Amino acid sequence: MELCDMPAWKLKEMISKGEIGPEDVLDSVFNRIDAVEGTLNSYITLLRDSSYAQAKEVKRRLKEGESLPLGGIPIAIKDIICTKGIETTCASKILKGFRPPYDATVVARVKRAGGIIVGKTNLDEFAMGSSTENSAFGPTRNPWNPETVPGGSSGGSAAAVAAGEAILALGSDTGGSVRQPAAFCGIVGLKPTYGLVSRYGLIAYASSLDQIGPMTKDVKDCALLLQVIAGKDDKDSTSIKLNLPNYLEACEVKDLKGIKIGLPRECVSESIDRSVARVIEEAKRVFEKLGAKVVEISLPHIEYALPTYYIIAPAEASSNLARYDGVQYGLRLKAGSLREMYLETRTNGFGEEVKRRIMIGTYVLSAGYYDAFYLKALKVRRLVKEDFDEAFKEVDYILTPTSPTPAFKIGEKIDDPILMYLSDVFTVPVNLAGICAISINGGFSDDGLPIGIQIIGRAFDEYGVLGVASAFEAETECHSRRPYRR
Amino acid sequence: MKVSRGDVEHIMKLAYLDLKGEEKEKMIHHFSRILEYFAKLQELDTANVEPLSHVIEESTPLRDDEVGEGLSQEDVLGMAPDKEGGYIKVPRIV
Repeated sequence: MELCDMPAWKLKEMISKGEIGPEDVLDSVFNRIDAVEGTLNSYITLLRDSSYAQAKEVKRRLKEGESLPLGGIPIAIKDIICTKGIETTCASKILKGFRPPYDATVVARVKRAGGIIVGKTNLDEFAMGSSTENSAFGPTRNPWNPETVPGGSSGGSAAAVAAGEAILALGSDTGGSVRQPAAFCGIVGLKPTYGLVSRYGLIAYASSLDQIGPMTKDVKDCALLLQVIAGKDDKDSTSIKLNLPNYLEACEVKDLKGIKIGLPRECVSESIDRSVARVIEEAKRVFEKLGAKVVEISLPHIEYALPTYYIIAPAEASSNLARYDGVQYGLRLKAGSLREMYLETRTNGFGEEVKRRIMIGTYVLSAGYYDAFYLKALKVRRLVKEDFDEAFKEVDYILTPTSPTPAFKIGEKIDDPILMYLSDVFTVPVNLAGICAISINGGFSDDGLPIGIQIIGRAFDEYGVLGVASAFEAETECHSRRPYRR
Repeated sequence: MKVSRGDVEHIMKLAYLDLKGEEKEKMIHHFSRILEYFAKLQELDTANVEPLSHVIEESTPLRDDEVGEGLSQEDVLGMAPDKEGGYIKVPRIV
């Protein structure tokens, strides 16, 4: 197996034994990038030279005896997370040339931990989309089948990790943007509980829903990366102070005796793909074999979560994206007056889906419509959250498909926003409730496309969720398949 | 729920967007379709439900008022597309 197809924890072991050096891992990753990037387009910016400089620095730190949790591991960062001095575009024309003067907290923590940032990955513009087709830098393709989408919005990060163009990646998840692409690309993606990971330096889409999460080859790597990025940050007043568990220990869980897993009857309806239903049925049997009790539950308001999300998220976005007016950063189009400059810059700088969400958000917040749409959605948001509160009185975890279908064809849903939104039907409720969930590979479709299963946990029970996912992974083989592995 | 051309034009003004031609027509079409989808929420009786705007419902945390490190003026102005004499420059407004 080539180094670029190995998980970080394994590479770390090899580096610490002196079998390989960080530059060997980089060579392998950049060889793979040279071979497949022309097809996949996972990256917006590649940082080849600075990667090797970072590797040298990490080697020095390791030699000095520093303990580095990510020592020498190549990591890709979604291009909506600020990196000091490195262009951060949000896949939008409007931020062309924007070089942040500071690192996001997660980036600073990755660097401190010895991670090597190999590049900035492609995404749906401002994280608005489910396919990575809404990018000013062209779509990313799914490494399992380049005719299909990698999911979105963190599609570049997902494709890069699946294809061995990176060992680890960071994504952001507002309504499923880490989990759904992880599912489509056959990797692991975690949406942490709101408040676990600092959002400082994450360019805002919908602030009450956004969280940064790890995207990795297996569950152990997910725990490793979560440990690095989680924890209170004074620069994000919504980040929560708590004693972090050792997430890697969660991956030692061998059986699930005494654990109760709920399977919502609303999530196994006829509207999901046959292959997805089969994978859920098989997953249920695996969990039972591991000693868990799987019971049917109900989340009666889950069908209202999607329209609720598509009111709340655009409302917050319309406010957050008001700052892109050509004054302080990024694109500015010349115009005679200030107002014309705003109009020209915003109309030409934003892509179609972003403009749609700004318009919808402005509408639902506007006089005369606020109560009927925005306020109504906030009330339903509480009902969705209360569904989970009730369910977690009965069960410890909830199992659902991550998305109702495997990866779909490029272009298939791009002209029908509602159809595209439906891809997030099982992921958005988790963001509305602010709890945590992981997507892991549960199997494959008849066409050989990966299918994700989602395990949802209580707020701040990442430890438990990682344990359940880890036990599943130990019992199954599907997660170890890679698209380009020789 | 159908949205009128006038509604969409009003929202464009509020949002500082100036859509024209085909792009505007497409927006009107999709706008109506999305609002129809939202109508589903009206099935629910929420008269006695408190709105939930944020999952962390505690009050805003405050920190001590101490001077810390921030970005320099140079850093901040460095991002702006046009600047002069320590200010960001925009088209003439008066």
